[in-house]
Amino acid sequence: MGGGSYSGDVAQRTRSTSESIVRARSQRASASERRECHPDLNPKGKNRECADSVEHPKTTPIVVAMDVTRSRGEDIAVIYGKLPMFIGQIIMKNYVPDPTISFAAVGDASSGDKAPIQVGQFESDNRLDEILSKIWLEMGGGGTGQESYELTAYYYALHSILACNRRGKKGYFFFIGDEGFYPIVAKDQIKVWIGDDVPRDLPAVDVFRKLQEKHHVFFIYPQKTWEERRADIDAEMQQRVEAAGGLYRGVFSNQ
Amino acid sequence: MNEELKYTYDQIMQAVRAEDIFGMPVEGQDILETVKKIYRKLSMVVHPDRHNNDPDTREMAEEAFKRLNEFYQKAESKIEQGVYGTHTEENGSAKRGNGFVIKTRKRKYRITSTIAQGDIAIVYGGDCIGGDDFSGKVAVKVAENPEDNDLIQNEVRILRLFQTEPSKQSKHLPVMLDQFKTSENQLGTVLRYLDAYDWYSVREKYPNGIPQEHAAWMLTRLLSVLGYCHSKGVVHGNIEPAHLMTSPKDHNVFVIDWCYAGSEFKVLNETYSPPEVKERQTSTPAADLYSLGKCLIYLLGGDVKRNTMPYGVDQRFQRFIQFFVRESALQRAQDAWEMYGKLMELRTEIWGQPRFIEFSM
Repeated sequence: MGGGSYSGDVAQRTRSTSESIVRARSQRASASERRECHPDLNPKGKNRECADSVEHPKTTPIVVAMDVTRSRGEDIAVIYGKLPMFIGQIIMKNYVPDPTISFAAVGDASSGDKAPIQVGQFESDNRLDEILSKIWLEMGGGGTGQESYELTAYYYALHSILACNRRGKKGYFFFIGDEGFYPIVAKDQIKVWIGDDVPRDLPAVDVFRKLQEKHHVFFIYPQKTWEERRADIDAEMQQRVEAAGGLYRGVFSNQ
Repeated sequence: MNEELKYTYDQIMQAVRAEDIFGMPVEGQDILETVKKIYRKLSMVVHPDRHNNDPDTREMAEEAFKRLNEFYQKAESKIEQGVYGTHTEENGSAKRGNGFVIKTRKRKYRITSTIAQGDIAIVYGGDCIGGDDFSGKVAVKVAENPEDNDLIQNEVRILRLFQTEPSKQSKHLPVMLDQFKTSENQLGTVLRYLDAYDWYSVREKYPNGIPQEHAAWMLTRLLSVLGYCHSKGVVHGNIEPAHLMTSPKDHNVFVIDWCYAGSEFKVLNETYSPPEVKERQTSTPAADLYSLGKCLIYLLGGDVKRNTMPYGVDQRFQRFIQFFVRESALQRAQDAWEMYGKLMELRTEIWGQPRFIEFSM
C-alpha cells in the first residue's frame, strides 16, 4: 500500500486512520505477551500443509518469515500490524490464485532464544489473525549479526507439503530480516526444535537450495534499517578519516 | 485555510434567506447600497480567484461564492419588489402548505411532510418561514422518545465538529441549522434539506443495480468524505443504504445520520455492520469501510450476504470492493484516503480518465 499521487477530492495527505485503530492493534499485539512458543506454532514433529480444496482449487502458498529479534527494533511492530492486510491486498490485486499464507517467526537458536522458530499453519481467512496474535515477539538474539533463518529454511524445505508443487508450481517465501544466517544448520538445533534426527550439521547453502525447490525465495531487507545502518557506517568512516588527518566533507565520488 | 474564509463560509452556508447575510434595513440608509457593500466585502473573502494556491480551498470558496451570488440576486429582487426585510409568513417558499409550525429561538419552521421514520427519530420536511426559496427547505429530525435525546445530541456534537472545520468535504455532510426541544422534552435538530436520493431509492429505480461507472464515482466521493471524517477521529458506525444519498444532477453524495458516530459501536445492523460490532470490539475506520463496501455491493445489484456482484461488473472493481468486506477487521481496507488513491488509479486503469456521465433517476 501507500504511494501513488492523490489529487482532486482529497484535502490533505494525512492518513485518515484515527487513533483507535492503533489502539486496537496494540491490544492485539499485547495478547501475544506470553513467554514461550504457543503450542499451535510449535513445529516440532509436525508438518505444515498447503492443500487444494473445492473452495481454493489452485492454492498459492506464501510464507512470511519475520525476524523477531531485538535488532529488528520498532519496525517489526509496524510490519506485524500490517501483515493481516497482506492477504486482502493480494486477493484484491489478483497477484496469484488462491493465496494461502503461513506466518513464521525467526529467532536466534544460537543465542539461547526460547522460541527461535514459530510456524503457523497455511490459512487464508480470519485464522491468520489468530496465528499472528499467538506469535511471541521474543526480541532475543545475541548481536552476532546472524539469526537462525537457516533453521526456518530447513523446516519449510523438509516439512512443508505443498499441493502446488504437484502441479509444477512453487510457493513464495519471504524472509523479512536485517541480518545474516548461520553458515550451517546445526544438527542439535534441528533435533531440539524440529525433532528430526540428522547425522551431521548441514551446510545452510544446501538447505536454502532445497527450499528453492519448493518456493521462490526472497529476502526482504527493510530499507529504513539499511539507511540507518549506512548512516552509522558513514559516521564511523568520517570519524576514522578525520582522526587520521584526512578530509571527509566536500569529497564526492561519482562511482 | 484562513479563519476569515472558514467563518464566512459557515455564515453563508447557515443562511436561509438573504437578510441573514446582508442584514435588516436601517431607517435612513439606502438598503441597496448596504447590500452591495456587504456583498463586495464578502465576495472579497470567498472569491475563488483569491484561493488559487490550494485547489481544495478554492473549491470550497467556489461553493460559498455561488451561494452568495444567489442570495445577492435574491436581495436585489426583494428590494425591487419592496419586500426586503419584511418577515411575513407570506414570504418565500413557506407560503405553500398548511402543516404545523415549530418555533425556535432563531426562527420559525413550517412542517409540511414526513420524510422518513427512523429507528429513533422521525424526520419531517418543511420550510423556514420567511426563508428564500432556494435555501429555505429543511429536514427536521425529532427524537421519538426523550430517552434517545443523547443520540440526537451526539449527532449535533459531531456535525458541529465538522462545521467548525469546514473543508471541501463539507458539501457531502448534513448542514445543521438549528436545535430545539419539544414540550414533551424530545430533542429536535433542523437540518438543511438534501435534494438527493437515499440508496434504497436509487436501487428501487435500478432493480438490477446501477451501472458500475456510477458506483465508482460515488465510491470515490464517499471515500473522500469518510477519509475526512476519520481524520477528525469520527467513525460513522452505522453506514447502510438509508444513510448514503446521491444527488444525480451534480454527482454529489451525502453521508447522513451521525447519531451513532463516535469511538465505540452503538448499533448493530445485521447486514451492514461488520462482525466486530457483535464482538463489541473498538470501532475503527475499517468498520465504516466494511459497511461502505456492503452498500456498494447492494447498489451494484449484488448479493450482500455472499459479497458477489453481477457478472458485468469488472473483476478488478469487484475485487477492490471485496477487499472492503473481509470478515477480519485487520485484513480488510483500513484507510479511506489510501483506498481513495487506489480507486483513482483503478478507475483510470479500467475506464480511462474520469469523465462526467449523466446519472438519471
